[in-house]
Amino acid sequence: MINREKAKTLLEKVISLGTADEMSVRLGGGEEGLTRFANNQITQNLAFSDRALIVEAAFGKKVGVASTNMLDEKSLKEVVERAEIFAQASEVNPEYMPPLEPQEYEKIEAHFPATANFGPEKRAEKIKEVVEPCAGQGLITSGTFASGEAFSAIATSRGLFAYHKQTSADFSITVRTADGSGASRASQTDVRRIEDLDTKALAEKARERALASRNPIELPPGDYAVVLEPEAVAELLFFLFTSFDARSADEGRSFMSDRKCGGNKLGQKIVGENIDIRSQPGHPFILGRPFFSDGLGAREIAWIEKGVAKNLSYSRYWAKEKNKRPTGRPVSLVMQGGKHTTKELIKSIPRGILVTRFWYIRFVDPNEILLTGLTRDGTFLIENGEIKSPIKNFRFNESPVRLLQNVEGITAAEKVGSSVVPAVKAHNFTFTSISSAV
Amino acid sequence: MRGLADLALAQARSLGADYADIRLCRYLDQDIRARDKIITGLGSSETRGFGIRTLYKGAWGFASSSEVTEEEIESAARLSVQIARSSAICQKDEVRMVDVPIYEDKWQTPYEKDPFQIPINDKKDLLLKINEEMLKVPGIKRTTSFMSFTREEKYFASTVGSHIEQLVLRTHSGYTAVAVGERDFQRRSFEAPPLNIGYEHIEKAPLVQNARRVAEEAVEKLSAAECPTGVRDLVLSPSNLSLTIHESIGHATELDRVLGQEADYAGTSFATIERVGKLQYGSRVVNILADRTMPAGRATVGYDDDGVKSGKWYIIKEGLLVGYSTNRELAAKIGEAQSRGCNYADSWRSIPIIRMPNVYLEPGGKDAPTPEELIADTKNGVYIEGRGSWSIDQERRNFQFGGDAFWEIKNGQRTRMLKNVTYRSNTVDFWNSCDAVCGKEFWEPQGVTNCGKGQPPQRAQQTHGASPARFRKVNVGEAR
Repeated sequence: MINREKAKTLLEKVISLGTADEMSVRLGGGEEGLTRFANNQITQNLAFSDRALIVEAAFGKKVGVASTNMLDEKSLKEVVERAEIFAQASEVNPEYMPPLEPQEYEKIEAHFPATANFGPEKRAEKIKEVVEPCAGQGLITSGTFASGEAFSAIATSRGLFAYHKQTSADFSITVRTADGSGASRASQTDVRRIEDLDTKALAEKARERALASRNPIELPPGDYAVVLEPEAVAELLFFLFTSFDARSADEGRSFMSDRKCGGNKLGQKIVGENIDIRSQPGHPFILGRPFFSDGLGAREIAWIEKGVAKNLSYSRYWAKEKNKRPTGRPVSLVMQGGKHTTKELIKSIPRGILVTRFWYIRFVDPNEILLTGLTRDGTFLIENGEIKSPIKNFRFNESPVRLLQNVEGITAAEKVGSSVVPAVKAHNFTFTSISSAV
Repeated sequence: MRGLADLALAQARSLGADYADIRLCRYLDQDIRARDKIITGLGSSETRGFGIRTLYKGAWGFASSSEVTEEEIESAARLSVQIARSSAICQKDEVRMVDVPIYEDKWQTPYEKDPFQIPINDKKDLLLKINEEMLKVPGIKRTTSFMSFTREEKYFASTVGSHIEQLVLRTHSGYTAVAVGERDFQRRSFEAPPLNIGYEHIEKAPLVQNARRVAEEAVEKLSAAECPTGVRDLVLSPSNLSLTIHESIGHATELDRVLGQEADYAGTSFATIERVGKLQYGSRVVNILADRTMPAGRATVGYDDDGVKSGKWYIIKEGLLVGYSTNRELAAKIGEAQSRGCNYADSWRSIPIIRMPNVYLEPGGKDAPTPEELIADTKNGVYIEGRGSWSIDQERRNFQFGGDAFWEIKNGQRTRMLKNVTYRSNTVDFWNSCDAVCGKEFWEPQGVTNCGKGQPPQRAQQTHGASPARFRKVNVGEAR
C-alpha cells in the first residue's frame, strides 16, 4: 500500500505537471481479501490491490476531472492533460469553489497491522470453525469474511496535503434451516481491529434466531408497536439523513423544506424529544475518516438534539451563499442510547413485533421520507411482554420521521457498520402486506 | 496481450491448477452532467488491470492487480493458486464445470459513431439546450441532464485453450425536471435508454423534442390526485415494465440465487429447480426471452467471462418456467450439458458471477392490441410510464413498484394525472394477471445500468424490452 510519504511525493508531482490555475488531486487505494461461502463451503475467494488517482483541474471557473489507476510517468502526464482538456472545454461554473488550503483534522488512528495481515488461510479457518458445527446440525450457512487496508490522500495547489489509512474487516453469516422455513443473519462490518470480530458469537446469534424463526405464523398487516433492533434502526436513519441537504431544503426539494414559512426546518422540532443524533467520526466504535474527499475536515456535528433539527448539511458553496460553516455529509452517525435493554423493551409491549432488520428499502415519497421495504432474518410476534411466535415477513410503508416521533424506549447504542445506534421501541409502525420469503 | 495471458496460464498450470483463466481489461468512461445552465461535471476515468482465476483440486482462487507487468502477473498467478489452496480448507464438494468449446475470436459492439470521438462541445451544448427547454416551463425549479459513455476492452484466455478479445461500447443519456409547489415537489424524467451502441443513439433520440413536455408533466404532477387505494387494472408502458421484469423475473431465474449461493446478501428464489416445467409463472401470453445476442442490448457480448459463446433462450414459455441464467460451474450442478453464458465480472478485479442477460417480454402476436385499444378496453385502471420506487423481497415474491408518471383510466379513456402511485403484488399472481401484450411495433428496449449483486457488490447492466401490457386487478395505493 502507498504510504504517506510516497503519496505526498506523487501528488505534489502531479500538481507540478499541471498548467491549470487550480488543481486538486486525490489518490486512494488499498489491498483487500474477501472469502465467500455458501451451502457450507467456500465458493469465492479473492484478493485485489488497486488505486485511483483523480485530478481536478480548473482554469478560472472552468473545471475538468480525469482519473486513472496507472501511476507511471506517462499515465500521470496523460491524466493531467485529460483533466485540463476537459476544463478548457467546459463552461464557467459560477458555483465553483477553489481548492482548500491546509486544514486541521482530528487525529484518528484507524490502521492496525493485524487486520491488514489477516490472510486467506486465517479467513478460511475462521469460516470452517463456524460452518462445521452448523452443518453438523443440518443447517445451511452462507456469508463473507473480508479483511484489508485502504488509504486516501489529497493535495491541492493551495498547499493542502492530507493522508489517512485504515484497516477494516467484515464478517457476515446467514443460517438457514434445511426445511427452508427459518433463516437469520448476523454481521459485523467496518471493524478496524480484527480481534474485535467475534465470528463465533455472530454464528451463534444467527443459528439461534434461524431456529427460533422456523414455521412462522401469518399475522394480518396493520399498525403495530415494534422493537427495532439496531441494524433496522440504522437502515432507516440512512434515508432520513439523505434529506438533510441544506440546499435541497432551502429550494423546496426536501422533507426539510419549510412549506409554511419558506426556507428550511432548521431549529424546528421534527422528531421526539428523546432523539439525539450526531456525526462523530472519532467515536471509538467508528474510527472514521477525518476528512471528506475534497479535504474538508469531518467533525463532530449535532444534527438532531432533543428532537430539534440543529444542523443541515452545507456544501462549501451553499455554506458560502448562506454564510454558514460547511459541514460535509452526515456520516459516522451516533444516535444517543438509552437505559433499557432489548428484553425490557419487549417486556413492556402487550402486543407488537420484533424486527431483526430490514431489506430492500426504497423511497416511496421523498416529500415525507415515506419508505417501503421488508423485514428479514427473523420477525417475531410479541405478546404480553414475551416473544410468542415467529411470523412471516412484512412489507412496511413508513417514514423514519414518524418512527422517531413515536419512540417510547431506547437501549444502549452499539456499533452497526460505520454508525452507533440503539434498538428502539415505537408505536404505530405501519406494515402493509405479508411476504412468504424466508 | 496474448503473451501476458499465456504467461499467467502457464504459471498457474505449473503450480498445479486444474483450470485457470485471465481477463486483461481496460475501462474508459466519459461522463458529462449539467444542472440548469451550468456544466457541473465533465470528466473521464480510465482503469486497467487483470484478474486470474484458478481452480486447484476443485477449489476456487482469484487474484488481481492494476500493475500489468510480467512480474505482477506471475505473482498474481501464485497468489491465486495460494488462495485456491486456502479455499480447500472449507470445501466439501469439488467444483466441476460443464465443457466449453475452444474459441479464438474477436468480437465488438456494432456502432457507427465512437462517442469518445465526438467533440465535447456537441455534448454539453445538447445538455444545456435540454435544460433550457425544461426551464422555460413555469414551476420548474431544477433541471439536470447527463450523458455517459463507456468503452470496455477485455482479453480473455483460459487453459481450455480459448483466446477472446472483446470491445463493448455503452451509450446513455437522460434528464430530469423538478417542479416545486406549495405542498410538495415532483419529478419527471426522460432518457435515451441505455444501449450498447455508438453516439448515433444520442443523435437519433428525441431528447430535446420531449424536454418541454416532460417539464410540463412534472408541474402537472404537483396538482395531480393522489394514488387511489384498492384494486385496479394496470396498463404498463415498456419504460415501467423493464424494472418489473428485471426484479421479478430476471433475478428470480439466476441459477446462483436458486441454488443458495447468494443467500447471505441478494437472497434466494422461489423459482426452484423442481418447479421448472411445472410452475405457471405467468399467463399464456407471457413469453420471456433471455438473450445475450440482441442488437444493442446492454448485456450483449460475444462471449461471457467463462469463454462461453453468447446465446438466446426462453426463461418463460407461454407462462411456464422453462429455464435459468447459468454459468459453467452451476450448469453442471443441475445436470445441464452447456452453460447459458451468463458469467460476468464488472471489473478486472472482480470475480465473475452469474448476472442476468437481457431479459425481455416478447410482443403479442398478430392479433395483439394497440396501446390505444388496450386502454379503450380498460374500465377502471391506471396507465404508468417510467421508473419510480421499487422493492422486492429476498425470494422475489412480494414486490411494490412505483413509476414516474401515472394517468387514471376511466371507461376506456386515459384521463387525469395521478401521483405517488404504487402497485403491490406477488410475482406469480402478477404475471398470471397479464391478459394482453401489445404487438411488436410497440416493443421498446429499456434498460438497467445499476444492477447490484455479489459481495463485494458488483454492478451489471441489462436491456429489458416490452410492449405495453395489461395486468388485471392489481393492488394499488397500499403505501399510503
